[in-house]
Amino acid sequence: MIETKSYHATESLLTTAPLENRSSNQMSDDLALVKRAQQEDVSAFDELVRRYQERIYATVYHMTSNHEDANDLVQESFLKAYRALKSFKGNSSFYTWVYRIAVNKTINFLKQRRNKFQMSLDDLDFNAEHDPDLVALISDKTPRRELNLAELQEKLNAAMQKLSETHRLVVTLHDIQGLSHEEIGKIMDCNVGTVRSRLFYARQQLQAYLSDYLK
Amino acid sequence: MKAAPEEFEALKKLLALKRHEQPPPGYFDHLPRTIRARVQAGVPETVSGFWETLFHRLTLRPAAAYSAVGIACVGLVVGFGLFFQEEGDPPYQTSVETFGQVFPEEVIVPLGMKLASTNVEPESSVQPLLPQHTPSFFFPTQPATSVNFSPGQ
Repeated sequence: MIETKSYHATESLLTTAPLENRSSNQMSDDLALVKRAQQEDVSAFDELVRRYQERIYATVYHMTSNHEDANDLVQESFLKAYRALKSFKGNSSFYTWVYRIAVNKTINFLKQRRNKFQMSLDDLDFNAEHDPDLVALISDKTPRRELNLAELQEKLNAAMQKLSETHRLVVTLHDIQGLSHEEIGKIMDCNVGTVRSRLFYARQQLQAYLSDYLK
Repeated sequence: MKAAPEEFEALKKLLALKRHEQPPPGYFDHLPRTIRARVQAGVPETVSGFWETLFHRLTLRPAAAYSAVGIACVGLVVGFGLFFQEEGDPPYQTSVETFGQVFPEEVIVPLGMKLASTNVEPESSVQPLLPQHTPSFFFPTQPATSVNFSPGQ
């Protein structure tokens, strides 16, 4: 069985801190903000948006490979969360709850969009050129020497888009955003075994699609 | 489903590239303001209404859209046909009143057609129920004109 995430966190904005690593103070703070927002305190909801916008955006963006679509979906997800806030009972964390809204919205959108896919990728940050793992991928010693990072990014996104929505989601949440199997299970409403199994098959497919760049 | 931990190491390194993808600078400064403005304005969701959803789905499925247009056209043509045909017919009530007593058990169906539910034969003196000349939208009938083919004319 595949072990839990073995990679280290990067400094990228789009990488999430695992849920269990967040302090209980922050979670209770979330709950206080939720209660204020439930009483139509927009500034409290504003604070919740600031807290989670990057993680939600990252998930939706990696699922769609399109900045404009991700922007629309993130806005719609937070609006839906605001409207549904009164039904939030606090059985799960606000983070998981809003994540679930965003994920459902994104999957519905992707099912409708299937025939009209067009990539609109975000730029790579400055750190990408200095990431030793990525430098190794495009070094002169590899068969991919003719590729630059932007081309590699495009190939990678194209391969991601070939996966089914659920497989793409599990790779995004685990391998890109660093969430644990348990957290993903809560978000996708399935057990840990299903998460592991989906992750395995998703990686296998990705490996096949990207075999030319992984030799 | 067992896999060695190192089996996907290269793939994981490649996937790390996606963590470096960043939205345009300042995007996360604008986003909360946009959401707040939409919350305060009470702007509805982008695709919420029935017609919008229907249009969205039809746009994504051209075959379904063409079928829907075809069905709508056929429906319109049939509808117009029936409308004009009924307008040309003698009033429905009149035929019932006129012939209802002659054929007490007859079943009258729309468009002036009649079906006899019994084996009672109509009396020979009774005129047929259907009018002699039934204008039709699809097959318009012309009144007969006499033609003389006798030679010498």
